[in-house]
Amino acid sequence: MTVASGVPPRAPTVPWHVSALVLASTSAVVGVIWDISWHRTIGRDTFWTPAHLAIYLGGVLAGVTCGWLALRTTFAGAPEQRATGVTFWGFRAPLGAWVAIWGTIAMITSGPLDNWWHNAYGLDVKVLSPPHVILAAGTWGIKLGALLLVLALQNREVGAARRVYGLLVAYVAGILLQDIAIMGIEQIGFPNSAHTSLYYKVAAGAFPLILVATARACRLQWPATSAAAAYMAISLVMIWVLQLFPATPKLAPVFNPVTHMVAPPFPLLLVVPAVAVDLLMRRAGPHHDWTISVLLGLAFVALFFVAQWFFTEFLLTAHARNFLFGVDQWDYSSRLGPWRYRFWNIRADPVTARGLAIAAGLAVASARLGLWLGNGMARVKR
Amino acid sequence: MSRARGRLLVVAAITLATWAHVGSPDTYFEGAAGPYPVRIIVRNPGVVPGLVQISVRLLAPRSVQRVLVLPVYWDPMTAAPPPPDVAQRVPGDATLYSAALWLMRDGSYSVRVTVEGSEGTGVVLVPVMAVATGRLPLAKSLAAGLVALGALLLAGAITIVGAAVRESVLEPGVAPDGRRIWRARLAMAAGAALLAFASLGGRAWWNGVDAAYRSGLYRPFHATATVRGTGARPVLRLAIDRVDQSPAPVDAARPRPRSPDAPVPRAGFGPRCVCPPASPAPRLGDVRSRPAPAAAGRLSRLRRHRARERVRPNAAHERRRGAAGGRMAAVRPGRCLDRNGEEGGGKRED
Repeated sequence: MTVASGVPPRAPTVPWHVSALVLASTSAVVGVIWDISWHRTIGRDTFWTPAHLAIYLGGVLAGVTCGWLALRTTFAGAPEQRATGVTFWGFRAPLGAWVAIWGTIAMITSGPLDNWWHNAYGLDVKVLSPPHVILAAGTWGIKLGALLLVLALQNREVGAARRVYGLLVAYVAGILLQDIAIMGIEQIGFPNSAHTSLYYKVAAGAFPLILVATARACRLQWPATSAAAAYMAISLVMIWVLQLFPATPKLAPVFNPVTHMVAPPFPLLLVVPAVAVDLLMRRAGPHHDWTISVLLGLAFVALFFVAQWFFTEFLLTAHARNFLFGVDQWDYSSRLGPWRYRFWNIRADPVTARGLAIAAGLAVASARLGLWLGNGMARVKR
Repeated sequence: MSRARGRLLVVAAITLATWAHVGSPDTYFEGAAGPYPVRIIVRNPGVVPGLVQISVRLLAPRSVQRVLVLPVYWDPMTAAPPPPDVAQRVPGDATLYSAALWLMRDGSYSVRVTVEGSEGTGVVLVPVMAVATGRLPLAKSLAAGLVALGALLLAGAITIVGAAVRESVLEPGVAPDGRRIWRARLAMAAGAALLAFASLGGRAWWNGVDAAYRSGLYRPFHATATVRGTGARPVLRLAIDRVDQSPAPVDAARPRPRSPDAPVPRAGFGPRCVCPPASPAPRLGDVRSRPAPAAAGRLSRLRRHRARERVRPNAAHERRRGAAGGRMAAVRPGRCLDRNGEEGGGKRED
C-alpha cells in the first residue's frame, strides 16, 4: 500500500471479519481460563455459566462471521474478493475462514459427546479427555483461522498496514501459546513441577513450534518476543482480574474454603527464550533451517531451564504470595499442607543430564517443525 | 399331609405373592426431620462424580417454608461445608420437593435435609454411598449423529489441506497449475492417512478410558451362609467372602425398584440431564436374564473395608427407621411414576 506524497498517511483499517475472528479467539481463551478457575473455586457449573458462554460465544461468533463471509464471497463477492479466496466444495472464501468454520463444527460436535461422557463416566476431573480434545481442536481451529486470515493480509500488504497485521499475528500466536499452557497445566502449570524432567520435556516439545513459526512468519522486529509477551499479558490480566471477584465453593467436600476466584498459575517466562529465538532467527536469515533449528532448540532449553528453575524457586517463597504474582491459590478440594511450598515429584523424576538431553532433542524437533510451518505461513496469500 | 409339608406349602405360596428388589443403587429413607415426617429418596446417577437427584416428600400436612439439602462427605478434615441447596417444590404437588446435588468422590456421604416451617426447623441425615454402578450406553441416534459430524469434520479437514496446498500461497487471481494440483492431492492423501491414524489413536484412548472405568465399577459381594452345629443351638455364620470379577455390564439404566415418589425433576441448576428410567419393568427383566458371574475372586482388603463402610450407614439407617416408626408406602406392580410425580396408568398409592 503506497501513500501519495503530501497526503497524511491513513490509519490502516482492519476488516470487520478479521476483528470479529480475533475477538472470537480472545473470547474462547478467556472463557477457558475463567472456566478452569470456576471449577477450582465454585465447583458446580451449568451450561450457562459466564465462562461457558464466553467459550461458546467464540465459536458462534467465528462460525457466523466466517459462514457469512463464505456466502458473501461465493454469491455476491466482487472478482477481487473471490480472487482472494480458495475453493471448498464449490464455495469461495479465504483459507482462514474455512479453518474457523471447521473449528466451529468441531466445537458443536464436542457438545453432545461431552454431555454423554459426563453421564457415562462422571464429571471429568482431568483437563484431557476425548471430548475436551475435540473442543480444544475446535477452539484451535478458530484461532488458526484467525491467524491465517491476518497472515494472508499481512503477506499481501506493505507499510503501516503490514505492521498492524503483524501485531495481530503476534497476538493470536500469544493466544496459541496460552492454549498450550492450558492443555499442559497438569505438567507445566504449577511452579511446584519445575524441578522435574517432565516439565522441561513438555515445554521443549510444545513451545518452540509456535515461537519459531511466529518468528519466521510474522513481519515484526521482535515477533516471538511479542507473542510471548502477549501470552504473558493475557495470563497476568486473568490473574489480576479473577482474584478480585468473591466466590465460595458449592460442592462438597470442601477442604479449602476459598473466598475469591482462584487465579491461574503465574505464566511461564517464555519471553526469555523468545528473545533468543528472535535474535538467532534475525542473524541466520531464511536459510540453513536444519542448522538453525538445532541452535534454536538448544537455546530454548538452556534459557528456559535457567529462567524457570530459579524463578519458580522465588514463586514458592513468601515474597510471591501476593496479588501481583497470585501464587499459593489452591482448589476448594485441596487439602492444604506443606506440599504447597515444595517442589513435587523430584525424587521420581529428577532433572538429569539425560532428561535435559531429551528435552533438547524435543526442542530441536519442535523448532524444525516450527520453521517448516513458519515457511508455509509466510507464503499464505489467501 | 403332614404339618411340616403344610408349612412348606404356605411358605411357597407366600413367595408367589410377594416381590422385592435387590441391588438398587438408590437410597430410601422414611423418618422424621424434627417435627416433620418425611420420605426421602436419593437417586444415585451411577457415576462418580455425578449428580444425585433427591426428592423429599412431606408425609403430614405442615406449613413448610423451605427444604434445604446438603451433601456431607465423611471426612474429619473437611474444612467447611458448602452452602445448602434449596429444594424446589414440584409443580402440582404441595408436599413434594426436589433437588439435585453433585457427589464428587466415591465413598460415604450423608445428605443433610433441613425442613424449615411453622413448627421450627427439623434436620435429618440420610446416609448415601457414592459408587459407580454402571456405564451409560451410547444411544444409536446419538452415535449416528456423532459419526455424521465426525465424517464431516474429517472430510472438511482433508479438503482444507488440499485447498491450503493448492491455492492458499498463490497470488490472488492466479490459477493453480497441474503440478500444484497433484501436490495438493498428495497432501490430501497424507492428511487422510494422518487423520485416520489420529482417529485410531482416539478410539484406543476412548476404549482405554472405558475399560479403566468399568474395572472400577461396584460389583456385588458374594456372601456365604452356613449353619454349624445341630440340636438346640445351631450357629448361623454369614460371611462376605468373594467379589464378582466378571466384566461389568453396560448398564443402560440401572435397575431401580418402583418408586413411591417421583423421579426428581431437575432443580434448575443441574448441568447434566440424568434422565430417570421411563419404566423399570424391562430393565428388571434384563437384570434377571443376566448370566451368572463367570468368575469370582477373593475379596480384597479394600473390598472388605468398603463392605464395612456400607454396612455401618445401613445399620444407622435401620436404627433411625425404627426410632421414627415410619413405613414405606407401596406402589402396585405394573405402575410407575413419571417425571412429575404422577403414577402412569393408575392413581398414586400414597
